[in-house]
Amino acid sequence: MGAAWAVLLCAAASGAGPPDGLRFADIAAQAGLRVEMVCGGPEKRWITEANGSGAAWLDYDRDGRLDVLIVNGSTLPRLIQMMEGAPPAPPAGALHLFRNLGNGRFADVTAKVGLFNPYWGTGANAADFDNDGFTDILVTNIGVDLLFRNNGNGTFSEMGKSAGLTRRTHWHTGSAFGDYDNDGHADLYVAGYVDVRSLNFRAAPGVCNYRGLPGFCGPLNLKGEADILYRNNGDGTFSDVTARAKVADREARYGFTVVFEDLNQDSRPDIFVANDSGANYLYLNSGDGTFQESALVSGLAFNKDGRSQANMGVAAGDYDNDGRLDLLTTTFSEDHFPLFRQASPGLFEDVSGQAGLEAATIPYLGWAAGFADFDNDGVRELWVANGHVYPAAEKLGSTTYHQPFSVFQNRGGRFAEVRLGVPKNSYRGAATGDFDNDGRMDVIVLPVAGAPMLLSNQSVRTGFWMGLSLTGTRSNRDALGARVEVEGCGRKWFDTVRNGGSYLSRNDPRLHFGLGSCRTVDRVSIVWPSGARQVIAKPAVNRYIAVREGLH
Amino acid sequence: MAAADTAPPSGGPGTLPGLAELIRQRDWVRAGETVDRALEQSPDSLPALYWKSFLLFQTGRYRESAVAASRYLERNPSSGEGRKILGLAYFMLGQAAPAEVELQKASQLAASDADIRYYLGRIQFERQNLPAALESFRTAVALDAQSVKGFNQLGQTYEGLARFDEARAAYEKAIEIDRRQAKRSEWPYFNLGVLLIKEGRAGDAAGWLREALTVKPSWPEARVQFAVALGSANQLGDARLVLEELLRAEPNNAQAHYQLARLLVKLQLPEEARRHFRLFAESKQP
Repeated sequence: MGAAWAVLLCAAASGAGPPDGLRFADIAAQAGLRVEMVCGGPEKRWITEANGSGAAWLDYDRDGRLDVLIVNGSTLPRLIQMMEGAPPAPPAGALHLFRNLGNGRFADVTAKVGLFNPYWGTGANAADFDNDGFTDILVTNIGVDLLFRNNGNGTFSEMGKSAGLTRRTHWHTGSAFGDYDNDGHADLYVAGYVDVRSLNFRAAPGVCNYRGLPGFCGPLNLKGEADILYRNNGDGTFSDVTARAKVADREARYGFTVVFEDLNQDSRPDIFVANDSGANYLYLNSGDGTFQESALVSGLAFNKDGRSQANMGVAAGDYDNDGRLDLLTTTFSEDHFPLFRQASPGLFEDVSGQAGLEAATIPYLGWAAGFADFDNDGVRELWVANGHVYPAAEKLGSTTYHQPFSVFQNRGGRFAEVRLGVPKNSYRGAATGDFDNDGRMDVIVLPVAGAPMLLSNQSVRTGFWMGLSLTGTRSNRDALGARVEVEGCGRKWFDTVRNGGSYLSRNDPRLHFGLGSCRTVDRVSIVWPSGARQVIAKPAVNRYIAVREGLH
Repeated sequence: MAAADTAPPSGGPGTLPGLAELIRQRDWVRAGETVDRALEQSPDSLPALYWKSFLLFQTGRYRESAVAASRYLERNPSSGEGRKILGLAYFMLGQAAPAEVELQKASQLAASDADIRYYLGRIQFERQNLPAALESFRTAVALDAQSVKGFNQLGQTYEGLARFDEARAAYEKAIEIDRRQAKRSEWPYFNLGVLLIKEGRAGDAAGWLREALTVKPSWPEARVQFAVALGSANQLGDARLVLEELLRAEPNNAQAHYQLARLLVKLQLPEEARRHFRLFAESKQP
């Protein structure tokens, strides 16, 4: 390791050895995360009331501890007011930023830091879009998206308009930051769901039939909302380059979750969009500022039967430790979650059956999802926040309204669900983050209504681990797109710094590697988005290491 | 479903001379002539009206069967057999609501008739009211413990309810019965194979799908699923042969192109894989 400024954030040594089970405890209330999630009424008569919202882990005050942003929904009367041209005053509870106090407790600093949201909140995201070293916040909405610039003094200023984000009313859902043109500035892709302007909330809601069950109508047969790609101009503003970049969502598919990720191993960030009730998009980066839609020929458009699905959330990660990123999308009940293993560069195969996930996921309606090594045994588990959209789903016999937050333990590439003893609910957004810096990944999980859960990972016997916090200098400051390989004990682990995925939520921006019984890492190899390569020899384990581009 | 899949009635309002033997021989033409002669002699003959509706049903003339059954029921409204024919005719015509009404009445008049319960189950299954379908199919197989189609459909229903162990057991029971039949059904073998693929047991699945193909060798869907099972079990060369042979016979089979593309991904043949993904998309075009 060269002249490093390795910062020890935590050195809580964990005992090595085989894991003896995952344990999580919901500590949201005692930690002070007191929020009442709202998403319309309990009857769910409109599609706007069904999809919930998300949360983001971020360290807005750079104190080395993850804070959490929770985006809340709204009510139909407020939505009607907004749609009729009079956005109501921002209510309390629409948006929460909780500062991590470091003692297992959080303090609600929303008003103090200047955050607000008068609209119906959907997605929570964060990135240092202006490269000033302070993480900024993006809130997507049914309404107008809000971009809060971090002023660096503990406050934020909303600057969506001056930054050039559209001010029209949209139903935007997931978003992702990534530097597609590799100019050192994070660009932004925002997914559109349904054209909310085409819905008449003053009229009686339509009643549609799902397997004999009456429910809200949509998204099928509703007008879709097109996605937008914004290029970061590098001066605090963005330009809509959707058409120029050839990512125009001409069919206006019902977009939910976006990931910026190099999915064909050509070192350029591509864009994957999970679409509800339609084929997914994979925009492969041509390297000249344009993309080519290639989902079908990459095996990512449809599931293993060649059918499109109701894709909601996305888990991205190398679940089989073969050095290639894999994807999983969560889908509707009575259908399976396809696990797209990257078999060769840019070519994916739905291996959900072989991986034990096909039959196992059929009862679930999944939303947020991710791969995380909860027990630090060296392989990543799959986690999914589940919950049905129809309160009467019990009558279907095949599923339920309240569903579990599921963890599927990874046993050599075959997954088996483990019972966590966590209450069932109708969950939506969720994000993993090690809020107490103990090397065990925790999870914030939001229900569509009611109180969120903060699942503190209290697994007792876990393996060794290491964490990396990357800062770009020539590359974008968040190091989005950096590729990292960890080698030790004859094994290799791979991950990338990415934004997007999950569902309306942002995971811990740091990289976390479970190492199993490997207590000595030989080297960490980083390929920065700029192309610079950096090797850290013999880094310490069981701690977070901050790495600045070019300084090791 | 072929019309002849429905069982001949166990009783009926009496028979006409020689008709029973012709029905046993499934000689529908001569049976029809016998019934027509009887109707010429006696247009209001209840047996003749009943058998007329039955024979029209067996020969796939469902609309005419429903008319004849209605005429018969005007004169004999409490006939469970008549209600059954009428209900089945509506079912075959895709008219679920009147079919359900008639079959419900029939089930009250002929409580031990497994076929009626089976078709009530089919109506519920097609509506995706799986709890109700389950109850009907359970009753059907309790009334007829040798019903291949009953156990097969029970398996489908359990599968829809994500009760996979029970689904597997139902298919296995259907197969056990089917193996003793002169006329075999390909469905339980196929359904069990597809379920086992979902469960990640591709090697086992391939055996059942192979057996489905021995029952019905030219079944494209089973050939595709057989190839999927072989591919999932890493018998990539064999899987490829199955799909390429199918595509020679059916060059526009979209599913075969898709599954071949997936197989070529595994075989690390990216350009060929992409070609078949494109052919899949083209084949799917109307």
